[in-house]
Amino acid sequence: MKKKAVSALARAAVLLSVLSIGGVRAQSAVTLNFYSGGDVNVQDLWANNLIPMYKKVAPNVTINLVWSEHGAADQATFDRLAAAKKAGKVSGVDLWESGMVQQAGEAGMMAKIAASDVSNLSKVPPTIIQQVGSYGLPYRGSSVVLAYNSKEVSSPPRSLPELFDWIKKNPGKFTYNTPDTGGSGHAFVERVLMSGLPQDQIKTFQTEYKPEMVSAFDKGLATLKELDASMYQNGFHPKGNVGTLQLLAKGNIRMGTVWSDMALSYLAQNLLPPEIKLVQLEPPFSGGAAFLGVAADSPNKAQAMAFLNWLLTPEVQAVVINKMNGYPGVDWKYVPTETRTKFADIAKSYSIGFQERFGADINKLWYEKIAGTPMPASK
Amino acid sequence: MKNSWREALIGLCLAALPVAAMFVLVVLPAFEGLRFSLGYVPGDNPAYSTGSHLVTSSTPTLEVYRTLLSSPFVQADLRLTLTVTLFTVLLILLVGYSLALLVRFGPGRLGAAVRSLYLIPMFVPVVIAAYAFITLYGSRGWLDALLHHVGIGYRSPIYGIPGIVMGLVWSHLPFATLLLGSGLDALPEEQVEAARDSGAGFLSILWRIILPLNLTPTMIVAAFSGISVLGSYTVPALLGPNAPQMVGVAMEQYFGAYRQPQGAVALAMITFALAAAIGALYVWGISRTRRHG
Amino acid sequence: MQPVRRLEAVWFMRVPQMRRALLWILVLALGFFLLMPLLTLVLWAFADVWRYPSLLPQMYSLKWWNWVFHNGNLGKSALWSFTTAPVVVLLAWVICLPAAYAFSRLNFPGKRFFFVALLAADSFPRFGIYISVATLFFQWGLIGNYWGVVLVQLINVIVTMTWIPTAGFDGVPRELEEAARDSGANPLQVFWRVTLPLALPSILVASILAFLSAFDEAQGTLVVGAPDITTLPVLMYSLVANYPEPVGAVFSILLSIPNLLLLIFARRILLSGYLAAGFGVR
Repeated sequence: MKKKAVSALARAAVLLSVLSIGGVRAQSAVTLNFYSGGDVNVQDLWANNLIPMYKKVAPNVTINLVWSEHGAADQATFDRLAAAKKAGKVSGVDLWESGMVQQAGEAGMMAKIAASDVSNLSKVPPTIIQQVGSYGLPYRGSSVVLAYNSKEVSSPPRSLPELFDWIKKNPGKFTYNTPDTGGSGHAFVERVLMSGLPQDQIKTFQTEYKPEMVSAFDKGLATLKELDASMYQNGFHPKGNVGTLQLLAKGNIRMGTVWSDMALSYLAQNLLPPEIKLVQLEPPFSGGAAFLGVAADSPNKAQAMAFLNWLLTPEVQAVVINKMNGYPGVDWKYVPTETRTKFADIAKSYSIGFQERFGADINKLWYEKIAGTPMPASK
Repeated sequence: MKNSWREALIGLCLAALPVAAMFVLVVLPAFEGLRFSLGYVPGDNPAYSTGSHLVTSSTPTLEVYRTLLSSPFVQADLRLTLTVTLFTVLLILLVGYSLALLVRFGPGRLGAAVRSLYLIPMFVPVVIAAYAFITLYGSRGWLDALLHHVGIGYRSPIYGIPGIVMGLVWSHLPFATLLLGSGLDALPEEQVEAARDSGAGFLSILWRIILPLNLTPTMIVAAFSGISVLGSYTVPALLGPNAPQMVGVAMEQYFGAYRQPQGAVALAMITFALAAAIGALYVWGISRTRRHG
Repeated sequence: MQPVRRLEAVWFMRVPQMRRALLWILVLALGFFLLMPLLTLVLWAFADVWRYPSLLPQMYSLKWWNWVFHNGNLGKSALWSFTTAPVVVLLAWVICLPAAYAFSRLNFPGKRFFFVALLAADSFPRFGIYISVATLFFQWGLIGNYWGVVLVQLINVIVTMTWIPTAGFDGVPRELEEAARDSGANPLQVFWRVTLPLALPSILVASILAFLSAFDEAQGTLVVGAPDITTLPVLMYSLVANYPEPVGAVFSILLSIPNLLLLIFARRILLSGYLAAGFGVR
């Protein structure tokens, strides 16, 4: 109800301004309903930076940001799109930022994004787009890194084998959150599973999905299970990305996997003691792109695609990187040199996670094989 | 004759309102879920049709249930759920009775204090309660710190079965104590007095007079808390072990984290069957005591 | 073995000091169990730095209160919470109270069946319902809609609002109604002047419980209302999962205040047995 009132007001305002110009562009004044969610810094990025910037570029397009804390409404928005499709009505969603764009796209609820509509798409690494079946456009990224207590750990591990070694030599001092409750835990699990796969097949797991391929994870799962005995409280995993950060803050653990941008903001707010430091492994943990999709039933598809194209322009990408301490959606080489130099030490690609459906299967396998299986009797 | 016809008609019309609301808001959606769990995948419902590992069949099949129930992990979930339900209900009765007895037979000032105390959880949203439990009983929480100063080692129960049970007992206590207390208020004073005069101790009065006479409220508390605990989500989602899980949480995971909505819906049906069994016991018990009373 | 043990218990209970001490230990333990979690939260809400193993925060501040008031969409959510929950109660009155009267006073076929069927429907796990209720609601344009949220919260209050007032109507002595009718009042007057006032306490109890349940509801509200309509518990869920302890603690206190005020007003009436009557005690 409230939302309706707001957009009606916005429409009235647009109409007024158009009338005063002379009504030439009356038919192109549109409102795009943009459903999104995340941390407050993402909200701030949209509401105070990107949307006002776009208003200057395209005065006729009003972007109505419908925000939910931390993507809590992802499923709700999905259900809304689904129900609209079933009922044969227009959902009222034009743009959607979510990890579920592919799932929705496969159900015919999101439009495919092609280079013919969004010319800047050519600047995005193709694997990232394939990962979501072209139903979403990555406009920013973030990566999972290793956080460690520098008072207790003088030389942190730099590679996966070194990390395994550290975990086993320091029992009870490492953990990661359950893979379904936060990407930082999921990234650790995927990184370990990836290390157990034939290296030439990894790309297939990132872009395709065949249920029978799941058995290839067995080797990685065995490694995870073996490590679990040396984890915090013999295999306790907190819930949510914040869970790991809190264990680090309280000194329960000395090392854990965290999102780089989250950890940086925790450090800035004094929620993590200053001795906590971040380091990336080589090869890196997988990161994640934030995907933006266009609803298939949107009556304003052309305007929405134009907005997406604008998001990938170098100036906008520079703003995104600077604000979020993160990664661009486009390849680093399309980022202005100044920004690239500023972020030189992380200005490389993060590794890409598995195809989303594998992600779901991995969650289930983890709960069954890791958390749900008793530890084998010690040798 | 004519009057009773009119009465029946009016009665039906009035009673139809909540029944119709229940039908539309609960029975219809549940029925669609049931069909889905039996292999009928509605193509026009993407929330269902985009799931992974779907079982599709034109005739009803129990395949989904067979797969679920033969999985040792789901079996473990169900075992945990039943264990937690049993222990929670027993503890609710135990603590609820203690509180109700304190109010009824304790010294005046104490009774009043307890009376104000036990209602509090009813007014605190359950998500807050679970959160509060973590800050108090969690590892390196307040209790841990207290015991550390006294020199006692502490292993947090919060992420194990005891954590779930504690949280659920806390949130169900007011309802239980209110009902048990009302039952105790209705006890004939004379009988208790007579027994006390003849020298019976408190425990034997409790065992021989109070408990048998207070059977109906006890049954009601057991049934309603049992049903509520069985399907609970918030407390076991925030507290409790990584695995196995309570079915309420497992349902959510099948739907969200595993992308297997069919499994989620089938788990809901299984939970409903268990809850219905408890409900049937309750209805049977109530009609028995009504007939005798 | 048995008699000896019993003797010991009896001896223990016969010493008044022992008995009193035991009683107080019991009360203190229960008090700790019931209150201590909430007290810890209060401390966290004012903590700036609180590192283990200190029993009290090392530094206090109000910065998280400031944060919550400026970042959490608090006002909007509070507005939604306080405009939905009371309306759920009103709607439940309209739907359930006439039925409660019918269940209590009128004879009609299937009465007992319908009465129990309500409970049967109520014991279906909520999560299973919310998944498919969303599809249904969209066809009716109820997604992201105020009335959709009201309806989804209504699911949880129907049984309470029917059962407890039914017992309330049951408890009104027929003789009083007959006396009023004998003195010339018509049936409607009898209902307004005698039956309703006497059943009112049980209706109030049902309303308090309904309000609490609607106010507390998060899962269904999220599915139907989000992201346009987020109530306080919905916000709380995402805060607890994603923000540091003090944020959740501040929010908990804010969310509990209206309920605890209600508790002060409702305590008396809740304790007078109407709830129990509604579920068949007595």
